[in-house]
Amino acid sequence: MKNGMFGLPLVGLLILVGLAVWALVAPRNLQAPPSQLIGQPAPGLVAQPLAGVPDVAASPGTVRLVNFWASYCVPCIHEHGQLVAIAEDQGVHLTGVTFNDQPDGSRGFLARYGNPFDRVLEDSSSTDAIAWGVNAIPTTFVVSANGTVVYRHDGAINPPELAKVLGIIEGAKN
Amino acid sequence: MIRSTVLMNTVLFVILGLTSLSVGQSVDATDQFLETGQLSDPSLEARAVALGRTLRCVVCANQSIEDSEVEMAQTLRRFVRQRLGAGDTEDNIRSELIRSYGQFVSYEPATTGFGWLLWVSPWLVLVIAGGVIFLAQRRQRLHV
Repeated sequence: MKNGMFGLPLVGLLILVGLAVWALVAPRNLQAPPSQLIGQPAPGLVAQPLAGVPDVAASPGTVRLVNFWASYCVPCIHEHGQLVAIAEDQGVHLTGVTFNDQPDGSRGFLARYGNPFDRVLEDSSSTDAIAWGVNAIPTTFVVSANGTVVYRHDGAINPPELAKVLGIIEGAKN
Repeated sequence: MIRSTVLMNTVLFVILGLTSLSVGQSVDATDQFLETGQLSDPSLEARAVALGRTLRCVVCANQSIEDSEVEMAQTLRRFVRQRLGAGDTEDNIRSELIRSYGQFVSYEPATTGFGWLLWVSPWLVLVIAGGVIFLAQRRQRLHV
């Protein structure tokens, strides 16, 4: 019995040491946590339209692609061609939301690389980026025809990923 | 000539009036913040720092938003200060960030689900340890 009394704290200590060692050697997942918005209604966008670029509202029941980007973001340049390709799909409305960017910089970027967006919003206070749980740019969301967020793409949509995103957009139309 | 001078004076007066109005507004809008991005009210700034230390930088390796210099942490620091400056409460700000980023963003475990066990476990350990000591002493007394 006496041994049992001493054994219990020893077992506890061994468990604690085991947990500490595991915490030190376990591979760390530094990826962004999963989006809280998937399956939820898309938050409203409160940022003001960027002046000097075309601004077309989404028709009700249209699939929307919401892309957070900035002119100083290099991966956004690599992604831009894929956004232009997605914009060729007439059934999707593209909203670009600028993140911590200067309006002149955003306009310059669109003038240089082309403007795939139906609407560009200037999120100067980052209110929209935070409401959408954006961790870094670029980040892209697909919002289904009924207004539910169905997909978040972290980082640039690279050419090999374009078909997958187009497939998700197609699926979101139904 | 006199008419054009009067017109010019009127235009200048309107421009000056509008300029002073916009300058006044911008002073009001930035009055709460120092150039460093901190709040000019020390007690509000202290609340922002205290709250920021309990909020995780979601893209960093175990750093709070107060400790990290990555852009997202800076953005969240500014958000916290804007909201506190606008009179919002710490609980509301934390809830809003949890809604966007999940419980992961908060270093304070939730008081529901598994988080509840974390809050209770220290007291549970204390009670169990007290019980074990009490039983051990009673047994010892019985054997003596």
